[in-house]
Amino acid sequence: MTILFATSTSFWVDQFVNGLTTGSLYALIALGYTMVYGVLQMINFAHGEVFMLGSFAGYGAMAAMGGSELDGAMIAVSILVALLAAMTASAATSVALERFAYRPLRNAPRLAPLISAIGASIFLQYLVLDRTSSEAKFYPNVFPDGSFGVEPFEIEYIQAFLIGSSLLMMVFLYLIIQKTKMGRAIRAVAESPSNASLMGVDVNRTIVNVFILGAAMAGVAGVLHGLFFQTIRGSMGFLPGIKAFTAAVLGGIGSVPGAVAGGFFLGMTETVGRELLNTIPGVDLPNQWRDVIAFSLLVLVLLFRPTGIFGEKVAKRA
Amino acid sequence: MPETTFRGWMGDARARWAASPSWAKTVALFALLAVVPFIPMFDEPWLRVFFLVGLYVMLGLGLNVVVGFAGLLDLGYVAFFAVGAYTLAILSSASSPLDVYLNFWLVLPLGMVAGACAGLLLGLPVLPLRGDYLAIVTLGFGEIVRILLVNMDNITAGAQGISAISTPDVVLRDIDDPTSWYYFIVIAAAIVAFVTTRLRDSRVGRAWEAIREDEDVAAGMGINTVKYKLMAFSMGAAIGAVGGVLYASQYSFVNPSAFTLQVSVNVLALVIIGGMGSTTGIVFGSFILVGLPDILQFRQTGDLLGNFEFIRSAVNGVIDGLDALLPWGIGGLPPSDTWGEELADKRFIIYGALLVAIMVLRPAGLFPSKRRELEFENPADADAPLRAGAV
Amino acid sequence: MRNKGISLKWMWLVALMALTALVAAACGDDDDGAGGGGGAVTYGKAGFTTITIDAGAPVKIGISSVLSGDLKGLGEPIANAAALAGEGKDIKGHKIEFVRKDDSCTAEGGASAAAQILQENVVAAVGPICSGGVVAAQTQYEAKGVSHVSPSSTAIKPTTPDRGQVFQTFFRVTYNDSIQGPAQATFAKDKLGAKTAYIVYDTDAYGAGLRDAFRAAFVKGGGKIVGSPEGFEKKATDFKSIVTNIQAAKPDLVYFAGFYAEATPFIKQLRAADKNVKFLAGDGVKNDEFTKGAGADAEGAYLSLPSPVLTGPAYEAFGTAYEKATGAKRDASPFVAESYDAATVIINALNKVAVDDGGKLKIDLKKLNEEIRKTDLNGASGKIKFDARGDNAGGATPVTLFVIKDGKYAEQK
Repeated sequence: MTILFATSTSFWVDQFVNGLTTGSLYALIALGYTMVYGVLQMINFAHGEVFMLGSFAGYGAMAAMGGSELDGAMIAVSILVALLAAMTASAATSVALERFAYRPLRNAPRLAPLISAIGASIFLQYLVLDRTSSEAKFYPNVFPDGSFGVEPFEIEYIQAFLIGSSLLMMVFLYLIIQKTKMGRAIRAVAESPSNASLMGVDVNRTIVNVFILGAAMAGVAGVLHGLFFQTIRGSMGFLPGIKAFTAAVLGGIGSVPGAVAGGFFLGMTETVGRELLNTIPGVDLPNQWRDVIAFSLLVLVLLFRPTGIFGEKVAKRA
Repeated sequence: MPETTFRGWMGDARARWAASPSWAKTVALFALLAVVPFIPMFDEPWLRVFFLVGLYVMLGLGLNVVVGFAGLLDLGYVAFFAVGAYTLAILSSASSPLDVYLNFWLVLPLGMVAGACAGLLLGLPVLPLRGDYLAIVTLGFGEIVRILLVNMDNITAGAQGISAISTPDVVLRDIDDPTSWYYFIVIAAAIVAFVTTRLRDSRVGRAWEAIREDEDVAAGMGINTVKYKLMAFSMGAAIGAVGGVLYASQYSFVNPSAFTLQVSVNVLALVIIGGMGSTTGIVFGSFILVGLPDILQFRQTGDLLGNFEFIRSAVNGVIDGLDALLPWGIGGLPPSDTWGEELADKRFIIYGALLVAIMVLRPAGLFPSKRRELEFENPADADAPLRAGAV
Repeated sequence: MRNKGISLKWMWLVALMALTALVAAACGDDDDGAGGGGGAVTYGKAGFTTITIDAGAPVKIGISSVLSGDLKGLGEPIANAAALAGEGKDIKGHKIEFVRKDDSCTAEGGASAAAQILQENVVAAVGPICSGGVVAAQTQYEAKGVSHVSPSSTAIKPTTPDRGQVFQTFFRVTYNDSIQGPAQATFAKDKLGAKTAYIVYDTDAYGAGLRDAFRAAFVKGGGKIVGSPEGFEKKATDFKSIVTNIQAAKPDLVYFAGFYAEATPFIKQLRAADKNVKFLAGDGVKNDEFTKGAGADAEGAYLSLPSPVLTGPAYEAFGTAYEKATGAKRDASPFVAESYDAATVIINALNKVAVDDGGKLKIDLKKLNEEIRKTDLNGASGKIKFDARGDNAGGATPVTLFVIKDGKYAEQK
């Protein structure tokens, strides 16, 4: 994109909203990565697939309820049901992963769970591809096109819904972690599992809870992704998974606010950041450079803050 | 008593193998590998797969220098593989945008140097990073290299790729048929195995080990961690680049879609599944992860499975029995002569499940080195039940 | 300081390796290096043989297609259509058997599938279906003298290799990218009246090839490309940022070079922001999945197919048979008619060259190759005639354009 037409306010507002949209999806998925890392110090590589399965479950629920045939209040109900179905499916998948692929490896050399997670990711992805004959499914188009706001500060309905519900989920998660007993247990285990265990915290139960919470966020992201981009397929988990992982590291892996900040930061970089670079005379970075910019930024940030934006004590021992 | 169990028998055999002198081991191994092309069952498709397995053994040995020796988690190893492959493609092919046609043997050292340079390039900015931070940055590096290959059309020919790449000739014999390539890769992998083993046992290797175990202590002991970490990166990268050169030459075609994250993951997985650090383990890991998915769709596999019709009858008999009791039907197995096809179709599902199964059943890998087994059994960390030891 | 010895050893090691390499290089003789290029077609040496098929044994034909993973939905129908061409047919009393191998649409896959297919004593093959696989497999087919007909490779490379020598055993039913791109550009200017175009492309060989062909022709005809062409990777779903750029650039036309999997989310996001800009894409998008997935947003989209419009008795006959045999719709996925034709071309030629020898069947691969090159077929996908390079030179007006109306493809004159 060249500087010539990249000047209007509405252009920048739109790109800003695009960044928020992409960023909120990254952030929701990144939460799962970072929470699991916080308690287990492992990269849950299969988390992208948990997101994908959530999206499929949401699709199934909406299709079963009549999909695009619905109107009015029923649309809202169907979305709610889809969200619940997705959270349930994602959580179930995640718990199964924890039980069968990760828990046996708690004592294993550090890289064993990573490989197990990669294996689980490939297994789930190809299983769904096989079941769907590699075909795409399409979420019903339930949101009216168009936008609201005052020119040039406009935002599409669906984008507003997506950003709003993501933020809501993040606040919800924050409250769980900070205010509930379960949250206290999670924080204790993240601090030191052995100490937490001495204090009477059921460590296994807490770890399962972490997987459930992270998966629920991914499930919500799956439905939002489906409603917004409408196309879903078995291989859809990979790219957002990698990006969310990047976001989690960017924010400081293990840190919950870090994952949110990292997600939005990454989303913004890919949209507004890239266009800002394009305003520099002589610079021309079309869409295909998006990931190069994202990863270069990651290196740059880590150069100055080797443990990410919000990273604290983690990453000491590696 | 232990002799009667399979495990005991395995252990016994392994002990005897371990006790034999190393020259005998080497001779035995090479004698075994040299006859492979003479076995009628191993026709062209098999030899091609064995080439790929050998190539991944090389890559595994190279990555092992970085991950196994120095303890630096690298998820972007494909970058060096790509650098090597494209060095040969650009400098030897008439279809590359560059008007240069060099002989394979001239490009090979150039590829190594290019790979080592790329290793330094990656190594420098990531020096202060540890563990999983390193993983994502290296992953990003691999992706950046691939995207550059796609978009720098004027050097790499972009997505169209480069074909007609030069092949090596050894003593007036062109290496261009599967048998020659098979021997070629066996010898190349053996050289790499020799070099990396020597490195591990040298002072450099001990410095890497110290860094892997505890970087701060290593630095305190006067080890120049910067230098040794960079050395590990560039050494591993150079080996990866050699692998790339051989790959490009054998397929005589490179395009960016061959250099995805999947390659890095495959190499890392086979090193770990093999039991980090052991050459035998890497060979087995490579055979299982790189060889099996292809072998599953071979004719011989299908023929073999076709013999198991009785299993189907038995299983379907049971299912029929259940069907009579249950209100809903259960499918039942398809005819056994289609199993080969079914397996080929589902081979990635099997691949994924296999990764998980191997890790869960043998967390230290199939052939763990003695030292690692010890580490695994005596975790020193206070939070050991949850936080596993160093890499 | 105390590491000095090691560093020296290191340098020795590297020096030794370099020396070995140099010596080896000196021993080996140099490459001929001569690059012919253009002009007359010279073939390399194909290893033609004669294959004898025992009495009662089937004649084997290979199929190299994508049979697993993400692109299975593309590759499986192609393989089914090729197999359909042999149904109920025989070669002088010998049944036809197809040997299917998965080429994964990659270079390694193409080479591996070729080895597996060639090991089965096939007389010819359909595929590989992707250009990368074709290029990596061509030398093997050539060495064994086995002719292979790709139903779907469109890149320029397979028929224009680089050292002057053209592969004698390669044929394809599709027209290559150098035909589709310019035709689209002409259509965009003359019929759609587009003066400015915005290019969005898949960064793979197909997308990049069309991007270049379209851009060159469009600019040559006086059109203007606004903005830099924006590339995306396969599996991409987030096109919001590109769409915002398109809105800002206000082009007359958006040219999309890619496949339906990404075109579907793209056009939905494009239409959410801009209802009017014209949309033009190629054969990778023209597919029922696209109209089904994009629904109302696909209305008014223009699509081209680098082949004559699929009508006529041959297509109808194929379509009916295909739908009956597979249960899938005939236009549900691309290249099925082409694949059927590729297999038909091979079977027709086999019938002419196979010699019955007391129950046994003798097939001279060289004669088979020559017979395939003489093909003149009114196939399901249109007229098929091969030139010396193996390209299809059959159609007079090879590119057909469609517009989507009420969820259906209507031919646009």
